[in-house]
Amino acid sequence: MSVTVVPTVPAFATNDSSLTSIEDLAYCLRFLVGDIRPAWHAFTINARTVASANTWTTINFGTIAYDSEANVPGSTGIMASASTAQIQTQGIYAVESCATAVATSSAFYFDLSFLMTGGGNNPNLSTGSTRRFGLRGNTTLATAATQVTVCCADTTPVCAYPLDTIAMQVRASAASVVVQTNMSPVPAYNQGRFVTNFSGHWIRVGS
Amino acid sequence: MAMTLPDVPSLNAGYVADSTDMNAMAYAAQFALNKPYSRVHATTTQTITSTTGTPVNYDTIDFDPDGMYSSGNPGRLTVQTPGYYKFRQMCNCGNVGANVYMLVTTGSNNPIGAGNTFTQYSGYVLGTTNGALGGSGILDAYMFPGDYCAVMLLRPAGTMTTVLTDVGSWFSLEWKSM
Repeated sequence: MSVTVVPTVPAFATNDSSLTSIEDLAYCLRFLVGDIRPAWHAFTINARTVASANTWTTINFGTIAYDSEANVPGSTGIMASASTAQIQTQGIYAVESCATAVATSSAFYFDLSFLMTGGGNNPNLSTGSTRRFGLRGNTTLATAATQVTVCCADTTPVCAYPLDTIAMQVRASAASVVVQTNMSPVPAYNQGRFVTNFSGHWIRVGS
Repeated sequence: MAMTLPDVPSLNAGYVADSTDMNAMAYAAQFALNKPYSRVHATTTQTITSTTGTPVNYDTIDFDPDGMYSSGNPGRLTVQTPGYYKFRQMCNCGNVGANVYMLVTTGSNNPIGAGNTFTQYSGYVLGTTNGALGGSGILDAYMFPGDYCAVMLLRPAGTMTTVLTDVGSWFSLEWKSM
């Protein structure tokens, strides 16, 4: 089967012994709980600098931990670009992300949100038009080298269609803010707990 | 419209499954693929004058196949199909400090009776430039039809007005488990 297809639930007639129907039901279950349920998880292994102040900037994720569509014949994978998730299978998606910024001697606000862009197949979002969703904000301490972490979870505000993209973006009120790969040990218990990451998964049929 | 919870049959060894069994399993898949889920958001600001918790109101439905939203009660999502639910929400508080918490109120179908309230998932945002305060998690209690959930906004003193900068406040409930 090429690209992941949203299942069609079969109906069984009396004395129905159709193998096709049973295979269709098995495919439903594989889609719901198996390896083909669309999902991805990416994280950063290199620090990213948000050059401009007060500007939403897409975070580029260097490491793809999991991409359910990457090995599906006919699919390019969800995180092929490493910077934005490109939807391959129609549906409502849950999206989550965390980002850690390094504070400077002056406090700055640090926001995180998601930006969905129509990819040409979505009747709810024309090609190239965007819809921002999610959104969390926080303010750093005015203490250099400490960190602030912002986490966000939302669902796509419209059904996502193949070739729509979802970007994780951050914004800071100061220029040259560094988005960390990890929290440095200040204090030590923080280390390794908050890696800047981006994940999502299909949750429901939609149109 | 409320959905009927699936009843997955048990098929013992030697038993020949009939179309009723197979359709019951198919319905379970149908339910999981189309499970109850609602998402709403605000396109207008809201001024909070009370120092007690006030429901954040929403005026636009993004998705509501189960009918959890009602414009007559714009500050809540009312469960139609029983189950455990996951909430996600964000309240765009602008540049004032505020508390946000989740409030569950039981309805008449709940075994403990109607009108009981449960506060959970409290959070606070400082009065800074961008106060986008949100959260997500599984609501503590099993929800029965008629139970409802609200995002409550609390300003310690004075008045405050939510903002629409970047994104208006939003709220969703997703059915997770029987």
